[in-house]
Amino acid sequence: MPLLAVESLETRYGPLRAVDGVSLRIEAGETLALVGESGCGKSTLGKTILRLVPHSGGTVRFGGVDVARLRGRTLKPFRRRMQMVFQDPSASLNPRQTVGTILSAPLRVHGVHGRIERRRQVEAMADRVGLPVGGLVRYPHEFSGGQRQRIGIARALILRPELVVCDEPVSALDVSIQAQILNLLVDLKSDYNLSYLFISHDLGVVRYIADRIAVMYLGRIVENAPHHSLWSRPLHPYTQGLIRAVPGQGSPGRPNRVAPIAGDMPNPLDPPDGCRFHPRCALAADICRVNDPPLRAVLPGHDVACHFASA
Amino acid sequence: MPLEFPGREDPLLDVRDLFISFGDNAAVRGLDFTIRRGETLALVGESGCGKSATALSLLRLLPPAGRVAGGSIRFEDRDILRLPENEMRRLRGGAISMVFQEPMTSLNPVLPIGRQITEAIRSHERVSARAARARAIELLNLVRIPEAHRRIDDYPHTLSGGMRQRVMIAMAVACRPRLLIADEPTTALDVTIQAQVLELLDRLRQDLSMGLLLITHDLGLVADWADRVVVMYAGRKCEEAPVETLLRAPLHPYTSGLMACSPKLASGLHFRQGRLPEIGGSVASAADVAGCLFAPRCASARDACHAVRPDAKPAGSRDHLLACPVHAPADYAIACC
Ligand SMILES: Nc1ncnc2c1ncn2[C@@H]1O[C@H](COP(=O)(O)OP(=O)(O)OP(=O)(O)O)[C@@H](O)[C@H]1O
Ligand SMILES: Nc1ncnc2c1ncn2[C@@H]1O[C@H](COP(=O)(O)OP(=O)(O)O)[C@@H](O)[C@H]1O
Ligand code: SF4
Ligand code: SF4
Ligand SMILES: [Mg+2]
Ligand SMILES: [Mg+2]
Repeated sequence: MPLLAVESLETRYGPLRAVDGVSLRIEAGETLALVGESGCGKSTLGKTILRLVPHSGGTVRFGGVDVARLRGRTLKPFRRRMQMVFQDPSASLNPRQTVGTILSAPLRVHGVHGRIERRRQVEAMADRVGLPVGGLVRYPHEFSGGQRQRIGIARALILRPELVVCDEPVSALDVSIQAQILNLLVDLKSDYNLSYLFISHDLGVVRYIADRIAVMYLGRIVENAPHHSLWSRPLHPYTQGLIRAVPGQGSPGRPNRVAPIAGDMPNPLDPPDGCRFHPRCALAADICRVNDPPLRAVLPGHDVACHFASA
Repeated sequence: MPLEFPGREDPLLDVRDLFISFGDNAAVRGLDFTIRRGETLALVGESGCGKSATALSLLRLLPPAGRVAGGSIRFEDRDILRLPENEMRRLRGGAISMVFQEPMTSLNPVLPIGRQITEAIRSHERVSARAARARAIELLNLVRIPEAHRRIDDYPHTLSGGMRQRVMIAMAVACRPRLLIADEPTTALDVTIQAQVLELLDRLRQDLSMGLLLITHDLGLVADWADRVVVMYAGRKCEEAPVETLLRAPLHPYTSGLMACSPKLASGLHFRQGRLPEIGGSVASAADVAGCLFAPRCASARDACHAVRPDAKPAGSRDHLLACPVHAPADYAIACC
């Protein structure tokens, strides 16, 4: 049984279907990366799974239980098992609380009793994520961006969750700090046997961190594949365009200057008929303007939503 | 600087020994670089290393807290730091223009985009409202805004991020600048749109034979679009070279560290096979260092590095400058003295 199984999930903001029929699975110990352009619904999907925004259809099974239907007391134990790390560590940390208070709050909320026990756990976690000794009595703004992200990670892990949704956890960080945080996330994953839903628009980062990659476009998953299969044989024209768009793939003296995908993402309030990618797709044919291609297995474990994808 | 650098003879922009400070904080500490006509120079470095401060100083647009504390900035035959303010105003948006990272902060939300472009034109040139509007449509076509004649009366918030950035570029090149400063022009954009915007900037560079100062922290973009590169760390230049040289044979440990630690599509490294190379520590450690500012993070630092602050000098060839005696080729000491 997968740790997480999302089925036909839908999330609306008024008339907008930000997540529009998404199905995916995450196995225990697996890292699934979610990639796609800004506004395609990645964060909304992550937050819907964690019950931070309400869904309007479909199921989210965590350890076999449909958490999308739980509320109140029955939901609480699941909240503890699923946590989130945010992109902007400064915005997600209360500036008026010390790091010690920030890290012990989840313990208090989830009934870890005894000041001394909480303190012991907070100190151990702070140490584990590489925060300086004595940092617990300081405030978030006294730390650098990288250190603040360590605080955000410690806060997410203090309850020993099984699934962590990392929403662009390194996008706001400098390259040299990115590598430190990515290595930390990898170490913590094996220490605590975590599964990650790793949201990112940086395919270089995703190539390193993901076991499986789901590509999202206008609220839908258009390709979902194990990493070796995705990088060696991306099958959806959108995925292919995203990969070609990554800068720096030429060789010295032979720069790579193609603009791979034309146009912008369409208005999500009025998605195109047929295949949602057709206005930007170089391969679009008549059928693409009419029929919406379903996500189907084209290679083992490798699903694609394109009329023309073949193995 | 008694040395002769290729391109130094008649550069479009010549910045020497620039110092910028914000109160006691030295943001830029002795920076030299030049830009030639029609050339793209990339200024690379992590946040806080002084890229934006440098860019703003070229237009004398530093915020009130900041000031140029030393050095010179020469644009063509003008001494920027001594130019009367009225001449400086004419230069801004005219011969020297700038594209900012966040298009929304530099577009006026309550004016249609067309008005903003025509005002930019008419503040520099005497043209009728009608002619300016026609130019604005032409410019929007140039930056490939679809149906420009219709979109010209749209407000910025109705455009996508990529379109706003293209409108910004249209405004910036409205008066055919000879130097265009692009400060992280695509950092807020998706890679798909990023490629479109850079292609546009590069086409304009060729068509108008502008010098382009491309400020970025993305070495991939540098590889694709720059002719020459200046790598900065904590307000100083650690290395400068033609892009090909830098990519093939980076010398400074900071440059090679940056290249190694950014996860790349092509490297194929996966976390189950090994760790990413890291540069330890953070730039904060450069705050009160006597010698090489990178020494607290440098794996090859030795005693001398903590005592003497190295200047960028020719290493191997005259157009490859390096501020690190430890990683320099054999002729380094000879070339420098
Ligand atoms: N609170 C909200 N109210 C209304 N619409 C929203 C809200 N949050 C997001 N949206 C819209 O839902 C869609 C998906 O947004 P979401 O933030 O999930 O995208 P994303 O893929 O995470 O983008 P990014 O890469 O920019 O973070 C977008 O069209 C967005 O404008
Ligand atoms: N308005 C300001 N007030 C005070 N300090 C500033 C201001 N702008 C920049 N600085 C400081 O100047 C240094 C260089 O900043 P900046 O040029 O913005 O770097 P970059 O663009 O490379 O990220 C940093 O130490 C930064 O904190
Ligand atoms: S279904 Fe058609 S339009 Fe959609 S991705 Fe495939 S070829 Fe392109
Ligand atoms: S001078 Fe010394 S500390 Fe500085 S980069 Fe070179 S080896 Fe490292
Ligand atoms: Mg998001
Ligand atoms: Mg900047």
